[in-house]
Amino acid sequence: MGNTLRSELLSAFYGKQQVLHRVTLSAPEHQVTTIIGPTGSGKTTFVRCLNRLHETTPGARLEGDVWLGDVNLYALDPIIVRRKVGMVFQTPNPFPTLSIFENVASGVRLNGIRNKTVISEQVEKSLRLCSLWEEVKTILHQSVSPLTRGQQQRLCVARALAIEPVVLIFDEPTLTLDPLSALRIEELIEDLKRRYTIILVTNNLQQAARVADLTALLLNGELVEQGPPAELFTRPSDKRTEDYLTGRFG
Amino acid sequence: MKEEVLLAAIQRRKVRDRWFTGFLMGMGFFTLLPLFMIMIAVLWNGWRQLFTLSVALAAAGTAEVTALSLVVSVPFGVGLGLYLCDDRGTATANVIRHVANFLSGLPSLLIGMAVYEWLVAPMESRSLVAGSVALAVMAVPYIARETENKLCSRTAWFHDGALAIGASRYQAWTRIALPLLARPLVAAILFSSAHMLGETAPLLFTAGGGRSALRGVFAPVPTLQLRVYGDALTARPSLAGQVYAGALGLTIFTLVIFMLAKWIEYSDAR
Repeated sequence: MGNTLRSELLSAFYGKQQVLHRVTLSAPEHQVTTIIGPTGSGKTTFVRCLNRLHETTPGARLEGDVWLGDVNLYALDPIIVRRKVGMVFQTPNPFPTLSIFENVASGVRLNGIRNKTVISEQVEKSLRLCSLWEEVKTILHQSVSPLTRGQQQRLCVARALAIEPVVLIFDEPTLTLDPLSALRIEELIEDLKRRYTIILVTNNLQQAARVADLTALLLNGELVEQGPPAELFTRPSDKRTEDYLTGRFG
Repeated sequence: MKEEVLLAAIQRRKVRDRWFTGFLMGMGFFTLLPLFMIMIAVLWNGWRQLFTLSVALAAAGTAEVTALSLVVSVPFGVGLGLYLCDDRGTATANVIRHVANFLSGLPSLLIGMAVYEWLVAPMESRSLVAGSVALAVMAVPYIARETENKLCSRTAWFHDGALAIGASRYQAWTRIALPLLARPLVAAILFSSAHMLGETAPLLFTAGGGRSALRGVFAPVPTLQLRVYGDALTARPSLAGQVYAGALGLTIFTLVIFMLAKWIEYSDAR
């Protein structure tokens, strides 16, 4: 089982409204699993259930389970779950009051590590993994505001990596980025899959085709179809997948 | 022909626009007029006695009572705002929010009477601490509402970001979200203190008066509000200058705090 992340009959609700309907999906380790679907199909809710951020929304509740290997994540403390399942959001959200160094170090510090050498090593390692070290090593203790949006997003990836998760969720990470910055994030995801289980939410079908090892289509909170992108994009087995891919809706 | 009709219609619209702009400017002018008249009257009649000992002592008392009320109200207000944002949507939070809103709508006289019962009667004396508590009770709902609104609207992204790297809810609020709001919250707290400077009723029951502002927290304290109220009640023409001087002191206090809060708001927006 390793670090495969698996949802089993996952249903999510906001108050009385059901937004996910018994979704069962596996994201194998060292692969990129992309979740595609039109706006409002429940993609973000689904990934927020995986790292238990969903339950922080007032009125939100959930049925079903999420497994990481053979560990049920809903039997653990949510803080421990979020340390194992990192997340990068749509909009880059580095902490504006902290320096570049402190942004990456924040997760390490929040997790109780105080040793300065360990923290420095962890910051450098994470920034190198995100190919950001060379760009920021001389301005580590400056504010994040001079960084481009693409650099800020890679900084957020570094921040997530610094706490050494085993799964990384990217929730439409290139939505607000220019094409060049988006390409760098895609390359980064390609690199990172050798170390992590990766789930990528995207509205961009070309992006899904480029980086995915496995693609799943969510529609109105239902998992319509999943499979290797070459197969799903060329020979969809469900009419709704074909309609979505050919632009009939979404 | 058609073009002429169109041009005439445009001309009519322009005239109406000018009338409407003039009407709005007139409304603005009449709104500001009383303020300017008050300012001129207070300045003209009060400046001669502004720098007297009694006004200085009352100003010191006002500063003391306002500062101490902030010491009491800020932790409660910010804490309550934090809770209301963190627990937003739950029945308990909704009830507490409504109670706080109700409290902020209560006549300040009632708050003064309540604090009189809680503190002044048992201690058998009006005091600096009782006055500060009365003002703090009024400030807490305002600070809580500002904290809640600012936290929920401006820090949600960063709060989620902190939770996603393994922060507890407490850590996400206190170490990431609240520091982001340091300036706007300080501005909101200053606005609340400027608002409190306008309140006389709760101090009537609680702060007392007296002539010295430096007798300790459990002794009565003179304030500008009480000075103005007390001297005005005597209706002695000889004290008119004192009344205006006290009012001018209050105006200066309010203006300085208001401008400081505005400057902090402006520097945060940049």
